Amino acid sequence: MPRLVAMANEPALSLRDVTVKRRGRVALRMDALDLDKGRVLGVIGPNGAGKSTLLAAVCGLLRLSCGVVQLFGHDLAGPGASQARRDIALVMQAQDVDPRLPISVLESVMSGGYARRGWLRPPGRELARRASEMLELVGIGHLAGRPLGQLSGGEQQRAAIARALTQQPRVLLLDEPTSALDWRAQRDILGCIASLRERLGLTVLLATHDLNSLESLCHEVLCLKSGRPLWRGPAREALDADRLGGLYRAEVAVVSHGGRRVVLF
Amino acid sequence: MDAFLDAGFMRHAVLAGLFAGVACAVAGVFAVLMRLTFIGVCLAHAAFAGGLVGLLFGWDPLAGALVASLAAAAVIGPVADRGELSPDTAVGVVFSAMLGLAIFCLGLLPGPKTAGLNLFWGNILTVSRRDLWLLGTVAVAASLAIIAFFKEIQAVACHRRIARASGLPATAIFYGILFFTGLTVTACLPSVGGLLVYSLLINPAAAAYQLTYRLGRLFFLAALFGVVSCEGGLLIAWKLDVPAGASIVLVSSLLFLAAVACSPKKKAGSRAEG
Repeated sequence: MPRLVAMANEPALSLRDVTVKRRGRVALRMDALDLDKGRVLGVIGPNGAGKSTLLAAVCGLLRLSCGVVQLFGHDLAGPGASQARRDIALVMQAQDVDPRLPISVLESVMSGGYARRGWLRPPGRELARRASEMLELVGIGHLAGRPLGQLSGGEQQRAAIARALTQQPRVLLLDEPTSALDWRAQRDILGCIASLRERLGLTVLLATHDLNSLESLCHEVLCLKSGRPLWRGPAREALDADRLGGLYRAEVAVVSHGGRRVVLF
Repeated sequence: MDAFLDAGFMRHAVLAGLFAGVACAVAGVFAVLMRLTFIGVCLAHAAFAGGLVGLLFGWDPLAGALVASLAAAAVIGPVADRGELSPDTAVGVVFSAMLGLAIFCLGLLPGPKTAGLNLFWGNILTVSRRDLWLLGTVAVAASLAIIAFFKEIQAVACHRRIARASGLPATAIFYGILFFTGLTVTACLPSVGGLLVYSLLINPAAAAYQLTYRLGRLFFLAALFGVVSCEGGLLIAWKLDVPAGASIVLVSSLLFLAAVACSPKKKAGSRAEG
């Protein structure tokens, strides 16, 4: 399947005059947003700020009321959009998976490559091999044969990341990938994402509530509030107590600990 | 057994049981996997109401049943999809409307209501050659579709939103599944009936769901249980001279209980609840 050819100097992802409405209410309004290839943009904001809406609009789960989303210069609503969308993979928030669901971890990860494989073609050994590689990459290769629903929350998120990578995306969208996970699983998943980003050179849009991971994981941070961008800048400048306090309408302190800056609520 | 198959109507019934068992089980697997089990009962009542409308106006009741079940699916699908109402509420409203329409039409039917009630209870022993062809076509088409689109069906049935985000036409596949369920319910109306078809949709699939973590085996076991329910129920009806439809439902219920008792997934289920 041919992949999109990047136009010279085009950003990997570009949004222009985008508005998304949900039940008649504007859930997201973004005049301009560009993300260069290989960069990681963290998106933060309180619940309802529009983080998940932004990601859902980019990957086509939500229809734009107006505006344009481009991937490497190609309009994602234009001709060939369904093929272009295959270059964008989404990892959703951890969800309850029925422990009896009849799908193995390997099958679930392979499903990330089904759209690119095409209709009426069995998955094939090549896709199975790639899915196994991705499972090894995220550290759960030994769980390939287990039913998906029997994995822990952290393992399921690793499987979700492996499924997204099996899609062979060029842009990876991560929607609060550590929510609902315990502290240890959160650290593991974030470490896994950082390692994959470096190895695969992916462009990443990361919606997160984990402010303390922003500096180590992201190049830039976008603050969203009520569906609108409030601030965008380098990740090292994002941890500002006044800005975060205003964003979350809470008392926020930023302290240094072991050479790292840490946000305290 | 020879005597059992000697009668022409019984051979028709055995074939109808085979086809209905397979088609209902396949539709049931989708309903169980996608947690849409009540949609089956809703579409069944819509088909029943449509069939009665057909009878009332002198049209082919099966055509009326098909239109009504597809229309119900077309209403439920988008409403449940867009989240404007919870799927349960959407299904509940359509179900009660269809039930009301069915009873209304039943009341308006002139003379004895036998033809109308036959659509409700069905009669596998009086199934016609045309009904057999319809059931057989649906069962074979369903089996072929599963083989041809297995990977897409697996992705959409197990995690639909993710499948859609990855570029699969998940919404189209979902509507295809609803359409097929409506078609199955309609094809089963003359033989199994609008009331009993729900049991045949859910029980074999729910029984198979207790026994395997592989989707391919789930389809196979559900179809096997569906066929065993139909043929076992027919045999019991023949031997004991009891109603065939009710026997089929009771056999499918017993199979479900046996599957729950033998389920290797009981531990997984209790872990999830705990």
